Amino acid sequence: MKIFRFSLRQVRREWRAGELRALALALTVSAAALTSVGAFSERVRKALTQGANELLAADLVIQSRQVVNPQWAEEANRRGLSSALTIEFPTVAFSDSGSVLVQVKGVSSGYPLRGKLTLAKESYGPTTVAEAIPGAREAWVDPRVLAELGLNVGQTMELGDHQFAVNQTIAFEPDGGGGVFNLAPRVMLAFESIEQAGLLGPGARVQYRQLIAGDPTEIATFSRWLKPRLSAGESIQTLADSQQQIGRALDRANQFLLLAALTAVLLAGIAIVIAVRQFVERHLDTVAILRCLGSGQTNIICAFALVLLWAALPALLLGAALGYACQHLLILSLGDLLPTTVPQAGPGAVIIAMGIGLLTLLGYGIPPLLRLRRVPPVRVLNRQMGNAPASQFTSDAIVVIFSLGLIWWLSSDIKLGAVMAGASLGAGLLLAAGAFLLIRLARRLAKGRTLGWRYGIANLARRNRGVLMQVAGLGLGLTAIFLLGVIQRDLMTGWRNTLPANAPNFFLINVQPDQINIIEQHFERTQADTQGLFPLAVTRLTAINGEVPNPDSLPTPRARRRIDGNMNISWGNDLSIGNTIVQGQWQDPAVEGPQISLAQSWSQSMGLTLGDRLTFGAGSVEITGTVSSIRAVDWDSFQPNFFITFSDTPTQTLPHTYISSVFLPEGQFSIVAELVRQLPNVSVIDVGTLMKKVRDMIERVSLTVQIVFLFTLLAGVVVLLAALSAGLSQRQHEGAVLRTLGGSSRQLRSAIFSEFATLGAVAGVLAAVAALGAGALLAREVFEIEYQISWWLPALGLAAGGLCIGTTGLLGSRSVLQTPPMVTLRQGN
Amino acid sequence: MESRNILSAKDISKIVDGPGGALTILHPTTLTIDRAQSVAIVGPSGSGKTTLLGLLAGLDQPSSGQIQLLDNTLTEMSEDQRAALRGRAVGFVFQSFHLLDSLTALENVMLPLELDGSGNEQEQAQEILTRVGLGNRIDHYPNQLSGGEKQRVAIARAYAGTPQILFADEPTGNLDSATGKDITDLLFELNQQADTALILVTHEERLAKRCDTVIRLEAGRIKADPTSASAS
Repeated sequence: MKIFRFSLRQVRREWRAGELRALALALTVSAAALTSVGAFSERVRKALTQGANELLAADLVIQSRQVVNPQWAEEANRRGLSSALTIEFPTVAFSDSGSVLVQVKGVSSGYPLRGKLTLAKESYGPTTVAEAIPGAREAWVDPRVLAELGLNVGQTMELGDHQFAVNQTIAFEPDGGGGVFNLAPRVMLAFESIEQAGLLGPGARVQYRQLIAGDPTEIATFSRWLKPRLSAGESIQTLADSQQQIGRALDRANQFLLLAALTAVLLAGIAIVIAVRQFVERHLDTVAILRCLGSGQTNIICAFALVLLWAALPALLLGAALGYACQHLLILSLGDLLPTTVPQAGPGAVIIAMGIGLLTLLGYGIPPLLRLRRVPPVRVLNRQMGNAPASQFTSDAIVVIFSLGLIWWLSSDIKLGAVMAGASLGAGLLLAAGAFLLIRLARRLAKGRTLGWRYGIANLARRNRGVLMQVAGLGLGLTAIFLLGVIQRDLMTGWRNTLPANAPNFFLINVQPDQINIIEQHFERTQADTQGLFPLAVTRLTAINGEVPNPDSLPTPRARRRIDGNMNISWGNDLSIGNTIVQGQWQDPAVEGPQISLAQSWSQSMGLTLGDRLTFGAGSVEITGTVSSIRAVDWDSFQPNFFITFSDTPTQTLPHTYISSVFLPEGQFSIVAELVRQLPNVSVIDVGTLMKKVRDMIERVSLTVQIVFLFTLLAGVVVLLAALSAGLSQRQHEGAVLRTLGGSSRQLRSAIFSEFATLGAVAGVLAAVAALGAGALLAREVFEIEYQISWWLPALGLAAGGLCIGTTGLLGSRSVLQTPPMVTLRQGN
Repeated sequence: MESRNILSAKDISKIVDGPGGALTILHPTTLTIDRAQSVAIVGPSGSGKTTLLGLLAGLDQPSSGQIQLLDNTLTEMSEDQRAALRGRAVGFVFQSFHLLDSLTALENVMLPLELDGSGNEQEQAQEILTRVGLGNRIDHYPNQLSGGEKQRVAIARAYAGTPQILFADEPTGNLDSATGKDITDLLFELNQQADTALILVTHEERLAKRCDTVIRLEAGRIKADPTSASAS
C-alpha cells in the first residue's frame, strides 16, 4: 500500500465524512489555547518582571560592603549592557536648626537603569521624573529630612565637611523600598560628591551596589559568567531578596499560569483520546477490508496515523495563529495594567504549542489507534469480530503514563506537578468509580419511570464502555470548568486576602523605652489600629551551643552573611499575630532559662533545631537562650515580625528601642505627623507606597491569570462537546430504529435528555468533589493560602451538570431526531 | 361493510436530487393491498423495491401521490403521527435485523411494547420469543446470537405489537438457505396466525412464490400486473 498517497486521499474523504473535523476542531482549540496561554503568559511574565525590575532599579544587582570589582561593570559594558553604581551609608546631616540621621545614597550617571525616580520641588508637591542625577554640591532629599532640619527646598544642609544645596525632594525612589528597618530618610547625591565631601571615613557602614541592565538573554549569560567569579563579600541581589513580596507575587502568578497551561494541555489530550476512539470505532470495517486486500498491520496503523497527522497539522497551524491573535487582544484588553511597552512574545510560544500539540496527538491519539491492529480480516464476514471490547489496558496505561510525563515536564515546579498529577489521577479514579456505580445502578434507577426516561437511563447500563468514557470525559471537562470558574476565584480571593485591607501602612522605629507610654496613650486617644510596640535589640550572634559560630560550617551563603551581620531580636510574652508554632512550645516549662523562638526559614537556613543554645551580644551585654519553639511566620501580614524572639522578657538588659506598626486610613495620616512633632527622634516609615505597589501587582496579576483561565475553560468546553458527540452514530441508528418501531419525537427527546442529564448530574457532582479536592490541595500545597471550601459546589454540579449536559446533549443530538426512519432500510446494521 | 383494503397507494413517485440533476427512482405507481394478503415486491437491484417499501410503510414521503394505510392518509401526516401509526399497527423485519446491540433479545422485543405503553411488556415479549424458538436465549445480546437467531428476534419484535401489516425487507437476504427457509416458514406461520398483511421485498423467487401476489419492478416501474393485488 502506498501509505502516503492513501493517507492523503483518505484525509480528503474523511473530511467529507465529517469525523476528522471534530478531531481538527479539538486540536485547533487546544493549540489556540496553548499558544495564547504560552505567548500571553510569556509577555505578561516579561512585563511583570520588567515592572518588578523597576523596584531593583536594574535587571541585576551586585552588592558588596567593599567597592564592587570594577571589572564586572567593564565586562557588562563589553557585552552591551548598561551599568550604574550606587553607594549607601548612614550619616548625620546638619542645619542651623538641628541634625538628623540620614541614609545617604550616592548615584552615578545613568541611575536608575530601570524604573523612574520622581522628584518634587516642594514636599509632597507635584512630581516630575528625574532626567539626570544630582549635580555637584546638590542634594535631593526625603521630605522628612527637610522637616527634621527645618529647611525648605533651595536652602543648604551640611554633610561631612561640605554644604549641599537641597534643590529637590524625592517623591519616589524605585529601589528605595527594601529593608524598611534600616531606613533613615534618604539624601541622594552624585557619586563623585561622596568622596569630595569626605563622607567615607574608616569604619563607615557602606553598601555598594553595581546596577546592570540590558537584554534579558545577555543578562542571563552575564549572570552565569559572573557567579563563579564573585568574591566572598560580593553577592547578586535577586528580586526575591530585594522584594520578597513582589517575588512571591510573581511566583504565584507563574504557578497560576502554569496551572492554566497544564490544564489546557491535559484537556486537549482528553479531547484527542475521545475523538480518536470515535475515529477508530468508525474505521473497523475499513481496516478489515484493507487487511483482506493484503495490507499489513503496521502499514495500516502508519496510514491512519498519517491521516490524523494531515488533519492535525493545518489545525495546529490555524490554532497557533488564532492563539497568537488572541493573546494580542488579551494584552490590549489589559490596557494600562501593564507597562506601555509590553515586550513581544518570541516564536517560542508558537513552536512549543505546535510541538506539544504534535506530542499530545502522539501520546493521546496513537494509543487508541493501536486497537486497529487487532481488527481481524474475518470481520468482513462477521462484523462482530474485532468489535469486542478488547482490553484497553495498554492504551489507557500509555495515556496515563504520558499524561503524568507531560505534567512532570511542563510543571517546572515539582510540587505543582505532583499536586496536578495526584489531582488528575484522583479525579480520574473518582470518575471511573462513579461511572461504574452508575452503570450498575442504572437499571434500578430506571424502574417506574416514563418510557423515555426509563429507556434513557437504562441505556446507561447498556452502553458500558461508552458511559465510562463519557463520564470520564464530561467529568474531567467539568472538573476543569469548576476548578477554573469557581475554585480559581476562591484561590484568587485567598491570595488577595494574604494582604489584609488593614495591613499597617506606617512603621515607627527608634522609639526609646521612656517614650512607650506617650505613644501608647497617643494611639489609644486617636483609636489608631496597631498591634502595639515591640522591643528591638540590634545584636550579633556570638555563640551557638557555646561555640563561636564558624561561617564555613553553614550551608548557604545567606546563612554565612547572617553570622557576619547584625541581628534584630525581639521578645515578649505573647506570640505575635501571623506566627504559628510548628515545633516545640512557645513557653516550654521543661526548658530552663531564657527561651528562644526561631522563624522556620531562619532555623532551617542556619541548621538549628530545638534545644540549641544561642548567645547574642550587644556591646558588653550577652544573653544566652535555648531554642524552645520554631514558628511559621506569615511575612505577608506586613506586621513587625522577627526571625529571633525570646518568648519571655529576660533581655531587658540589652540596649534596645521599640518599633510599632499602625494602620491609618487615608486622611488620618496627621496622627503620625503629630506624634513625630512630639517625639522628633522617632522615625516614621511610610510602607503604604510599597504596599500599594504589592496590591497593584496582585490585582494586575489576578486579572491576567483570570483571562488566561478563560482559554483553559474553552478547552474544557471542547472536551465536553467531544464527549457528548461520542456515540452519536450509534444514537442515530437507535433513534431511527425507535422511530421505525413507532417511537414519538417526544419519547426520543425524553430518552436522550434523561440519558445525558443523568450522565451530566453524576459527572457534575463528582467533578465538583474532584475540583474541591484539587482546589484544597493546590491552596495548601502549592499556593500556601487560606482556602474557603465552597460546600455548595457539589449541589451546583449536580443541578448544572444535569441541566446543562442534558440540554447540550439534546441539542447536540438533533440529528438523532432528524434521522429519517428510512435509513433503517438503507443502512446495514 | 368493512373495507378489504388495508393499504392503497395512488400515483406515488419518488424523485431525488442527484449529481446529474433530478433522478426518478419510482415512477407514478398505484396499488392496493388487502387485509391478510401477502405481497412480494421483486426486481433487480436498483429497481426501486426498497424505496417502494419505505413509502408504503410510511418511513419516507413520496414526491407525489397519496398513500392510505388503515384509513390514514400517510402523505398528510407528520412524522410523529406516522410513527404513532407504525407503533400501533405496523411491524418490520429487515435484512440486517436492526436489533439494538445494547439491548438483550428480550429488551429488543419489549421495545415496541414499551413504546406503545401497553403494559405487561415482559410477559408478552417472553411469550413471543418462546414462540419463535428463543425462549432459552432471552438474555442474550445480539452479538451472542447467530444470524438466524437474530432474525427470529427481529420477527418476534415485529409481531410483538400485534401489527395489522408487516413489512419485510429481504428477510432472508443475510441467511443461508436452510435458515432462510426456517425464517420464511416462521414468517408465514405467524402471518397466518395473526391474520396480518405481509409485504416483503425479496430476490428469492422461492419466497416470492409463497406470496399471494408478486409485484415486479424494473427501473422504477411495475412490470407486470399482479394476480390478486391491483397495481399499475
